[in-house]
Amino acid sequence: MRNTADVVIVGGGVMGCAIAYYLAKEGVKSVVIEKSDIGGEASGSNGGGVRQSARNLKEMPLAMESIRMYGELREELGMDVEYVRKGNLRLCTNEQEMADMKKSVEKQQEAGLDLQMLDRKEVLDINPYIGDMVVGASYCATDGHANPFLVTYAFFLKAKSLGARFCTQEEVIEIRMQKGRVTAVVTDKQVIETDLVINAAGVSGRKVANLVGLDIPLKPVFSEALITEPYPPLFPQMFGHARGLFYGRQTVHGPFFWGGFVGTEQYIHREGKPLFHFIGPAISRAVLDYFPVLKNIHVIRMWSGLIAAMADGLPVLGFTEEVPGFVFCTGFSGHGFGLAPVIGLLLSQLILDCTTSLPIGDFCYGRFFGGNNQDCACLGNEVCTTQAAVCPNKRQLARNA
Amino acid sequence: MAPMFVFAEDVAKAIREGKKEIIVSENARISSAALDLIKEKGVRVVRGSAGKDGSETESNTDGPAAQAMPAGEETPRPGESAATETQGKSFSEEEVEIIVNKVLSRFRELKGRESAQTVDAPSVAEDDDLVICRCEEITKGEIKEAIRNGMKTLNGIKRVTRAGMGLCQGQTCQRLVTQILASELGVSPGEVTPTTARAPVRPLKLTAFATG
Repeated sequence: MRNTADVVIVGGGVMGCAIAYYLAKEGVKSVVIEKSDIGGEASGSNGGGVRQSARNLKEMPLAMESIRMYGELREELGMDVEYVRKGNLRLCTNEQEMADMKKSVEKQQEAGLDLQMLDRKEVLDINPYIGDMVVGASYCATDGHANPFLVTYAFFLKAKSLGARFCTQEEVIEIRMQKGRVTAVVTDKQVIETDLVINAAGVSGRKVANLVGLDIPLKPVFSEALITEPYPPLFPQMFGHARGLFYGRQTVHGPFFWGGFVGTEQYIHREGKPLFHFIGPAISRAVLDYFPVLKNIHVIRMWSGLIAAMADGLPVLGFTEEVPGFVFCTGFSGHGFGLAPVIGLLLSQLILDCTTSLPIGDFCYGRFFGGNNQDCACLGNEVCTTQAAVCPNKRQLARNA
Repeated sequence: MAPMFVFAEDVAKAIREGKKEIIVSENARISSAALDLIKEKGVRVVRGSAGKDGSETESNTDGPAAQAMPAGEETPRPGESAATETQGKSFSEEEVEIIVNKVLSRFRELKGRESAQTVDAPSVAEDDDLVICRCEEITKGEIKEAIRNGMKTLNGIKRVTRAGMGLCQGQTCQRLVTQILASELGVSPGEVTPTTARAPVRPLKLTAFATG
């Protein structure tokens, strides 16, 4: 029997599950191939930030729409995903950081985001536990956080109930092409005939792109996080540092989550004494400085994850001219979780209608090859010839069946 | 072989069947609820003693090794070759019904507030209300539901149910979750991949961690 699929999604993280859900909602049954568990990689180890502030301005319209969608996610998916919309503070510790932050805030305000600069007193009004070193912060009241495991799980369950097929513990080893077009996906267990493949493989996105002879400037970046014992509710906001050194929040279950990158250099050494070169202790020192109230709390677990970091910090989305039938949705560079619902929706629109309700031209594959966005295959709402050539609508997709 | 563990339900069953004594193996553990019931209604407990070859048989309960112990005596410790005997007392059918209902209502209370809806559903097993992860209070039923929804690894179950995410980090429940997963998948527990092990081994003060 022929094993076929309208769409094969490589990667069962929050993006893959969200795309599968929005496709299934329109009647297109996709097959999702995941090499480990559903949400087993970055979607299972991130901090759960759902924010608009401090985003690249190109991502801002997407982030704003995503925050709106997060508000309705509980109803949409029928599961409480622990979404809390209680604001995000990006903390500054000196005048230089304040000045930089001010400039950034002005730009974000121009882009339509409602956020403001706060001085120390105003910060303390919002959160009285912040340490002495904080001189001010940017504050966006509509930011927040959610439980990444549950968001992924909710999209997965809903997509499955609508007919999407999920294959876990299965790795894509080959993508077959004929005359330059995608014809089949080969895993270590099966061959699925399809002419549409979505690369939602996150940190493995480069490897999957390589299977069809494409390459993207994506490299894995190591990040660590820790979680503490549960504590009575202290503050509901999400925190970030002006220079992105560390971030964190208190989860709805009580434990505090704190994460950091290998950018916590100022905490890797202290008083000229080299300290243990793992980020966990560095994150702890940062937390003690910023939230001295937590000094007696216990850490119960640390973990690490890989971030699919793109050279320019922006994801790759959409069709490619080079390989018709191959769709990118990877390289979210550590801030993909907050975008998941809108990306799922936009990618499903792209597949079904060759157009998206928000422009995704800034994220095209062509941007790495001198192509300016004006010539891009997936600019704005325009249906370009390349996309039309592979448009599944023309092939009477099962959508209306 | 006579039972090694005696629960209130066993005693209730014996009373229902009109038995005035229950035969248990020599070192049997009697649950406190069962003991209460035995004391209250004076059911005879006959402990089988070890035979010559060390094996326990029901037939020698009246043999020389069996001897009477005062009614209401605390559960004999293992190794004591004694039989407990409480005063036999007959009671009416209504009385039996009252006792049985009392015991069963006690179980229902223990099973929590949702038992009324779940216990009657045919697909739900009797022990689905059992708390497996004590830190996060996750029941066997919730874990089985996650597995049936497609979370077929310990890491996956942990992420969606929170079993093993609490203070002890799965040191108590991981074995149990492994057994549940193994039985759901029909494999041996040894074939189940453990959850990812992470530092610290036990809770560590933030200030101590910061000196690392």
